[in-house]
Parts: sequence; structure tokens; C-alpha cells
Amino acid sequence: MHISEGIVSLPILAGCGIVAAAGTAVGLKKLDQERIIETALLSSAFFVASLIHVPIGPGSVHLVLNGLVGLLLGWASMPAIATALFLQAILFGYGGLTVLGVNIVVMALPAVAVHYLFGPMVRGRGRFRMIGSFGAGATAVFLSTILMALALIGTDQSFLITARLLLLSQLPLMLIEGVITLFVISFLARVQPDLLEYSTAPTMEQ
Amino acid sequence: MTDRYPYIFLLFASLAILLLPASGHAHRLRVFAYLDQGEVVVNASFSRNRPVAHGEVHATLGNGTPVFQGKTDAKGELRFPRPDMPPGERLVITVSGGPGHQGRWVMTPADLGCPAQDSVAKPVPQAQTGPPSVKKEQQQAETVESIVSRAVAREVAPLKAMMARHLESGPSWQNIIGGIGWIVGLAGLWSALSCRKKGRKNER
Repeated sequence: MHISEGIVSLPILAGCGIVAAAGTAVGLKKLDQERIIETALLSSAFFVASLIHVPIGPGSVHLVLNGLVGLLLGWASMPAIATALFLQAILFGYGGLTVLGVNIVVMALPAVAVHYLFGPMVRGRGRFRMIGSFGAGATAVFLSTILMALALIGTDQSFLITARLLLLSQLPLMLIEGVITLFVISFLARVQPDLLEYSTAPTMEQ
Repeated sequence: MTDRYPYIFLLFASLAILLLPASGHAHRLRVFAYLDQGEVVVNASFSRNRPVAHGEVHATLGNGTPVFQGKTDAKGELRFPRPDMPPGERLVITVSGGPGHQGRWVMTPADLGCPAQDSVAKPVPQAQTGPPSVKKEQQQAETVESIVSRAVAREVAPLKAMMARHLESGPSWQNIIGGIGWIVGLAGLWSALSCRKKGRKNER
């Protein structure tokens, strides 16, 4: 899901850089001191998730987990994902420093979106929670794919076919992410339900 | 509040342990190219040696002039004849391996077995003006040189391929653990700064 260096045009790089910086600043401002450890844990999970590849057909896709991170952290997922992406760029060479802003926007903004879209459902009970968890995991990947496709098309119209292929290739990942998010949220609901109550509160300001 | 962290930690640790053995590669696209018997050999792979099958390869001069276009095979390899290169010019090889994934490799004139710009600027006059015996000697020398070059290229090819594979190894455990360490360290730093800020507010 990472966009490599040298692909996206300068205006998109600059625009995404500004959005990513602003979003990260908002996330840091809203980050409650009590939730720093939780944020670090989820940031680490996101950092490692890209190493986990699921073979699908002739190729494979890697986990993103931005739906799960977004659901549990809300705006704090912006700095959590930004930190993980920065470290992935310098330690693994995924993406790159010049496209860091684009990758943050592509992966972190959908995380924040699913927090508000599916948070209330996850706070519910039974089937409602299950649908919400699955929906959050799948929708985050879907939105990320759309943003990535837009970044590519915005750079060059010839990427239109590539973007369509991208959307199709990410369909299995949406299902996988949905199932993983469902599993994790169900587990947390059983062992520590207050974590979900707290994490899905609409405001997290100090 | 803090009693929930062991649960979360255990959850993610188990996920990582369960899924990491099945992992193999991420999507950093690495390109490696070398000259082998007059052909440019391009190797493209994602991390941990997963080949970039049918990846688009574009070879251009340093100034962007396209000289070759093709696709890698199932092994992520492509061979094409060395293009006629202007003196001192570099060959830039870019491989696209799917949406958003791209890597490149630059071959210098030395990598391509071409003379560098400065050596081209100094022609050797003796070769054209010398007597027939000198000319014959020079031809013999060129023949020997080409035979030796071919033999050396044949011997060195496996080493180059090995080097390509080595370059394509995935992230090490040190990097993964180091990255997590960085995140924990940054969280600690942010926590300390927040505490300090809160303390100052309380003092007021």
C-alpha cells in the first residue's frame, strides 16, 4: 500500500505533506497522556503489520491494520501511523521520506474516518458490534485504496487503469482486514470492554 | 487503567508470532543491473527475493531519453542488448512493479564497459598512424582482451547474481525490534513531556 518515491507529482506531494502535518499536529494535541502507551502499542502493531503478507492468487498482499488503529485511537492514529510509516521508510525502505506525507494521508485519514463512522457501532452489542468491527477494517482499506488511486490519477491520467486494478487487487485485503479487526475487537470486548468504550468516545481531549 | 495493557500486548504479540512465520516479504522494490556478455541483465524483486514478475522496465539515458522498454519474466529478470551509449552517459533503469511500486538502478559508464567522458576526449593517435606491424599487434591485443573479458564475465556472473540476491534480503530482526524500540522510546519521551506540561499547569 505504500507509494514509492518518484511516482507522485510535486503538487500532490506538497498538498499531502501539509495535510499530514496538520493531521499529526491535531492528533498529538488530542492525544491523552493516559493513552500514550496504547498509542505506542498500536503504532508498533501497524509498523510490524506491513511485514505480514497474505498470499492471494499469484501475488500477495500485506496487512495494514489502519482500521483497527483508527477505531481504537481516533485522531491519535495520525501520529501513531505517521511514526510507524517514518520508521518503515528509514529502516525498511518502504515508501520513502519524500512520499511520507502522501502515505500518511493514504493510510491515516481513513483510520480517523472509520473511527467516527464505525465507533458508535462498536460501542454497541452483539451483532451490531461485529458488523461495525468488520466494516471498520474493510472500509479503512477501501478508503486507503481510493486515496492512493486518486494520488496516482492526480499525477498522471494514464494511471487510471492501474488504479482500477489496484481497487480490484485490494478486495481480498478488505475482507482479511475486516475479519482481523472483528477478531481483535471481539477479544478486547471480552477481556477489556472499557477500552472500547473509552476509545470510541467522540472526544478525547484532555 | 493500566491493567489492560498486558492484554493488549499479549494480543498483538500472539498475532505477530502467529503470522510472522507466514510472512516473507514486503513491497520494497529493489533493482539490480549488470552487464553480462554484451547484455544488460536486470533483476527486480520485492524484499526477500520475491521476483517482480512482468514488471515494466524502462531504460533511459541520464537526460531521460528512452533507449529500451520491456517486461521482466516470471523470475523478475530481463536481458537486453547493451544500447549504444554516448560517451560518459549513464543508463538509468526503472522498474515498475504494480501500483505505487517503483525502483531504479543507475549503471555508470564503467558498469557498462564504456569509456568515461574524459578518456574519450583524449584519442590515441598511434593506432591510426603506426606501421602495419603495430596495427597487427594492436589487433591481437584487442582479441586477447575480448577473450579475457568474456571469460571474466562468465566467472563473475554468478557473483553478480549472488550480490543481487544479497541486496534483496528483507528487513532484519534487528531493524524490526529497533523500530519497535524507537516507537516505545518516542512514546516515553512524549509521556515525559506531557507530564512536565501538566505539572507546570498544576503549579500555576
